[in-house]
Amino acid sequence: MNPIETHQLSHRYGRTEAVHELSLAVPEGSVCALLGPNGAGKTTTIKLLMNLLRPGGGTATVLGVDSRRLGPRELAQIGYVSENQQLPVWMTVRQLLDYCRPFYPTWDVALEKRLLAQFELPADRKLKQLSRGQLMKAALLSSLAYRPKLLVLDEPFSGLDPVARDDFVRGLLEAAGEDGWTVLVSSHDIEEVERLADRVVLLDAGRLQLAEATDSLLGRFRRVEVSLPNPSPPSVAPVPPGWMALERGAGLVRFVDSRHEPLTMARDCREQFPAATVTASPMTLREIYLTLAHAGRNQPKGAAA
Amino acid sequence: MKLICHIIKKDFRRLRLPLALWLLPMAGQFLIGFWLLRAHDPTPFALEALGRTLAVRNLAGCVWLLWGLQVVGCGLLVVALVQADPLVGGQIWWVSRPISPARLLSAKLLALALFCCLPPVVVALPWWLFCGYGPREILLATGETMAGHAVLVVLVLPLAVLTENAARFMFHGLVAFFFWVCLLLLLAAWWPPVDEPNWAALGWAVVPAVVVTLHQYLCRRTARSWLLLAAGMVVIGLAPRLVPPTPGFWRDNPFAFAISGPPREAPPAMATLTVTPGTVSLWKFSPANPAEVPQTDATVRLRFGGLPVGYAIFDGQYDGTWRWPDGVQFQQAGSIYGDLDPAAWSLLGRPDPKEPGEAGMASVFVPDSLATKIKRQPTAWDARLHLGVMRGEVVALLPLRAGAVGGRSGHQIRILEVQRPGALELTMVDLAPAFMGGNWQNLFYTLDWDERTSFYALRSRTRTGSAGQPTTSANILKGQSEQPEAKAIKLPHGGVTLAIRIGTVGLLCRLVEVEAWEVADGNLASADQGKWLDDAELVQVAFTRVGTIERAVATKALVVQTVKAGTLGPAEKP
Repeated sequence: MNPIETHQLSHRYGRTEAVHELSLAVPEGSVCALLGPNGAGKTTTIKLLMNLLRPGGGTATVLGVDSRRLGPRELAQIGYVSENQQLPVWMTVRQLLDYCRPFYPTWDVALEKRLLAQFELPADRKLKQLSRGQLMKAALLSSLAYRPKLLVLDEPFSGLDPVARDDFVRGLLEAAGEDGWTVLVSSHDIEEVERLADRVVLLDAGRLQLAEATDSLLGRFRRVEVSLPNPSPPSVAPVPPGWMALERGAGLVRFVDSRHEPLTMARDCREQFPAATVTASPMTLREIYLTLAHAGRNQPKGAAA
Repeated sequence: MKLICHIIKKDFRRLRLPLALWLLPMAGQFLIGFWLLRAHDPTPFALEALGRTLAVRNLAGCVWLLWGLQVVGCGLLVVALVQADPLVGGQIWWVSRPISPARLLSAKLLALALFCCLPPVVVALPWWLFCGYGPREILLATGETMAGHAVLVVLVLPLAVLTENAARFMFHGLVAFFFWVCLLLLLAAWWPPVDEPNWAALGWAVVPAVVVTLHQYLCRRTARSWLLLAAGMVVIGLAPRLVPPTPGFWRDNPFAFAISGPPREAPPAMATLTVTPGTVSLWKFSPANPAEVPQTDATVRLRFGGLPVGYAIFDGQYDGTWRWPDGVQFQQAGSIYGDLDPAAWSLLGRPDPKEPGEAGMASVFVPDSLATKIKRQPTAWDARLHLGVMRGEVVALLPLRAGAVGGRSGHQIRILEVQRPGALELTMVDLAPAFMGGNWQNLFYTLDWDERTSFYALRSRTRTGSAGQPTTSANILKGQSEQPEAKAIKLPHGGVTLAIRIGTVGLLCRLVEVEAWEVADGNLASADQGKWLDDAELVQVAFTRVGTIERAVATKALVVQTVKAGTLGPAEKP
């Protein structure tokens, strides 16, 4: 059973369709990154999963339970941290932890103390007096200390400085790595996500663009540079379907091969550019994301990558 | 339950300061009450009566202001408590935590009871004890205080659960109020207004308030909850029009609880009561407006016999028929007025020195032509009487000195100041339970309460009269019981200088000025008054309504005793 599954999940804000028939699955033990530009529907999807919003259509299942029926038993195994969450900011960090502790039978006091020290949080300071980074750490701490089976993070890195971000990710990786938690994280910060995620889901305009393991994605995409001899005859063969962001310059052609397979690419290049020198280099997740995002803008709505 | 307590503790930690601040206005009311009831010279009441200061009226205003602050504070406390874990918005923290809506609702309801309903009782308890409340009154006052706050809480809850902060609560409250006014105007245009008491309107309002609150907590469907609230308001507006109230049901006021319980059948002792019609008095009134028909007040004097000691007929209704030898007859219903003094005097061991026997009046306005017929021809009169029975008790005997306290459980009288510069000036306060339970009709208008009808006299403890009994003065507050409208009006003798309600206790402050008085055995010479007063004590006989009794009376020929004319409007009664 996948900890998170959605089937044809949809939600509207008035006339705006925030999520459109989204079907995805997050496997157990995976760290899944939910990526997409502003307004892609990432936060709405997470709110639907956490029962903060009611789906307009379709279903979402979290830990085997319909998201609309999430009860204390399931929520005791789910950690949720969001940048916009209305935390009880009148509490001190210690009061927050003291308040949360009795609700979780699996609360690990030793882990709580370890994370408190690791995050260097001032325990007796009120949440409203904390910096944004400290506030997110406090929220994360209160969501990690009971060793949740599923951790859902909505834009946890936004507004954090690099040091705080690094602390946050390290804390998260350590805690999640120990118990093999399932993590769903939405973020714009693709470098940090690349460190964390072993699976990527790309949304655009509420529609699923891509859902794939990170390794597979990184292995599938290559930036290809083709050096052409002068003068080179114009290609008459059709561009292979996996080639994206094709740029032609004087003696140089660049493109992204989204279905990279060395032998196939060499054959296709020979057909397109008979006497050219071809160089294929790996891409970062950020580069892949940008390529797909730009390509998505140029595609008609509904056409998934 | 452990987790519910945990949530309550969290809310208490957050709201302990606002809670303490909220209790201050209530404590302030009681402090004013303590100060007013402190015996000192001169009392604020005396100063007020002498027109030298407005202190008392200002204090009364302060009590009102503090009461208002208490009500507003309670509402804000409810809002703060509910919105500590809001139910509106897409980023509610508690929803992502293992807190079930039912558990949160239970915690909030318990917290509301503990924070909004219980503390007022705790703060008021010393005041109630100081005012002489016994266990029964404390129980009733506790019930009323908690119920009053609970109603307020319930009425604030729907808006509190549908908003996420105090500013939105205020804004949506104004919108809801505007909607309510428009709705009432709209309904009034289609249906005639219904004479509905406030407690009934509150009763109607509680139902949708509870429904909206439960729905929002258990379902968190804000838009649907707003629709429910709007529908509820329409129902509140329509209900009394679609289900018209039975007049008797409203008038009888099912929530009323009198000081000695609800009215019941007259006691068996009243079986000996006989009623005999005596004479008839005619008072002709020329209305102020010449267009109105002149009327005459026809008062049949009734003689009550066989009344047990301490019992009196105080009021009632009758259905009577006037008959003449020529066959003409005229049916009319009217009111009966009784006198309590004979019963009070009988309790003090002597006959009423002023009232010779005839103790009741059956009074009605009749047309002028009928009055002329009564005057000219022998008139037979028969009637069915519905008589209200009251029982008097000596409830206070206290020495004439400042600081003296008398009375019994639930009813106390305090003498604050005694001055004898020749005449006797007595400043005293009656403290009696002033529960709103019996006065919901007036909840928002006068904060009035049923004053216990009392008879006050001065009695010498050592001097005895010719019959060997303690000499007793006249009723020093004669007329007070017949003039309930005299509240808060300064009267030359026995005037009430202040009527105020503090924490379910009604304070009725009187400044009594007795220049010369008679004792039951005859006039007291001025020179003897001082000595007589040295060992005098104040006696209070309080009357309680105990039931009703019916009697049929008939007389073949009424004797027309007095015929007088008045020139004022019919409102001017003899």
